[in-house]
Amino acid sequence: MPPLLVRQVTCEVRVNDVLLTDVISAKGEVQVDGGWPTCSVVVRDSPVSAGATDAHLTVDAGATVTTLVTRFNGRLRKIKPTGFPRGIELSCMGTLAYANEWAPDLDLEFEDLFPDGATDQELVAHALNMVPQLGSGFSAGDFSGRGVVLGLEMPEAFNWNKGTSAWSRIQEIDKATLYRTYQTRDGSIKRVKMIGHPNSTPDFTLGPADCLEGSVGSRDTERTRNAAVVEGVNYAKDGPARGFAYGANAFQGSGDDPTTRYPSKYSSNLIENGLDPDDDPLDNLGLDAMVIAAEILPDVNKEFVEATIPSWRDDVHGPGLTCLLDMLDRLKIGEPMWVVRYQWEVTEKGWIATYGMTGGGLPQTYTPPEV
Amino acid sequence: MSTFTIGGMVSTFRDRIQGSSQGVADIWELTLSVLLPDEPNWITMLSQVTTKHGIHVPLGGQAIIDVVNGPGSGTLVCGLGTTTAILTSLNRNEYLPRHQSLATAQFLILDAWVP
Repeated sequence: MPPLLVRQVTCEVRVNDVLLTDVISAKGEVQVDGGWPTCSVVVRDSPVSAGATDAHLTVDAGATVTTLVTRFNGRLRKIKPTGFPRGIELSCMGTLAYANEWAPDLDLEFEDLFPDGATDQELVAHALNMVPQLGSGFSAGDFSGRGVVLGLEMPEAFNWNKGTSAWSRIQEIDKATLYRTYQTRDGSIKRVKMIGHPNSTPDFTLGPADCLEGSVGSRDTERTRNAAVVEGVNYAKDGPARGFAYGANAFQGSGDDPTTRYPSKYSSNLIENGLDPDDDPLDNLGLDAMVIAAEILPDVNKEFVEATIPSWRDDVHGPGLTCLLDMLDRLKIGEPMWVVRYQWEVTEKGWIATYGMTGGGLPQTYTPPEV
Repeated sequence: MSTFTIGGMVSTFRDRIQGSSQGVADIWELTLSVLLPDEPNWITMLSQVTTKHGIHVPLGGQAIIDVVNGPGSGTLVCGLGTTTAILTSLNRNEYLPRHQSLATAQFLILDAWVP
């Protein structure tokens, strides 16, 4: 038996920069679809007086000295005491959650805000800057995006209606552009594009020696489609901007043939360019439905591969990274996957991280994001 | 005399055949029946107990031990040999004259060690 690996687990929770000394457990999660990180810390006594939620809370945790890093940086939003056994759960969220709670009280006309149009990055930055708790320091340069100027053809489609939260606004923009906005473990707000699977070298590998009991995978073709049909903004005279892309696969045949077409339909009012109902180019500015359709196709004309992997590893990982899941023998998966969800927990059983991954599709180039 | 050392902390005891046992699982376990010669050694050994630990057993490869609460691994020298170990529990079973104690100490064995 070779020497075993022994690790010293550390978890430092600070509320308003004061270190808590009675932490029982802590766990957190960052996922791209959820937007903001969440964290739950169980302590014996509340570190804040009643009504003093919204405190700044950070968690530094790891199983070795070199991986004792910030795992969560956000706000305490809810306190849930338990009578017996005595304990209090501190429920925390990243500050991006405020974007889901704030909405304008007036309709915001796009042309008043951006008379010369705006890129998707500018629109995301604008939406974030409107949220009082987030400050107003965001700029387009902070985010990845398409960089295409939007709103020059049908600016009214880009109006921000009262009652629509800033987060819903961002999700509309993300949906149209195929990007995802999310907040990392340290509180930074990022945008990434995740379509298909990456063809670059994976950022890390998980194999049988890394994975714990409970690792599961799936491969399915229930969601497989051999055609992507995109519908953009509806021009009353010319009809909606349209786009399509056809592929083929072994069991559905060709999407080019209407009799064997399995379309995946996608619509967004923020797509201004594409084809008219006669399949002639609209020659508009803005997002092109044909381009979007071509990018969606490899993400639907594929075998859908997903995995959930508990691991003892305590690396600094997060959504947007790519992982070679080298588990062909046990999980029938031996390919690069996107990390879409990263959970960690420190309990009396030590450190456990759980990776949520998705993959399949044709290789795509990508640049690893910060985590 | 046998010893268990973590950093500068050394507890000294005599290990006994009667009451000692071994177990094989993902990590080898050694239970020693020990005779502690005095109260200071009992107190030292108490401070060497790792009260909370987790064992991860990957689908392939070696097990990993997470020390959650306690000093972790040390060097165990006993009648069976020398190895690296974690003291996970200590029970004083019998109080003897002259401040001696009879106790049961459970260790997780970390090295390749087949006594």
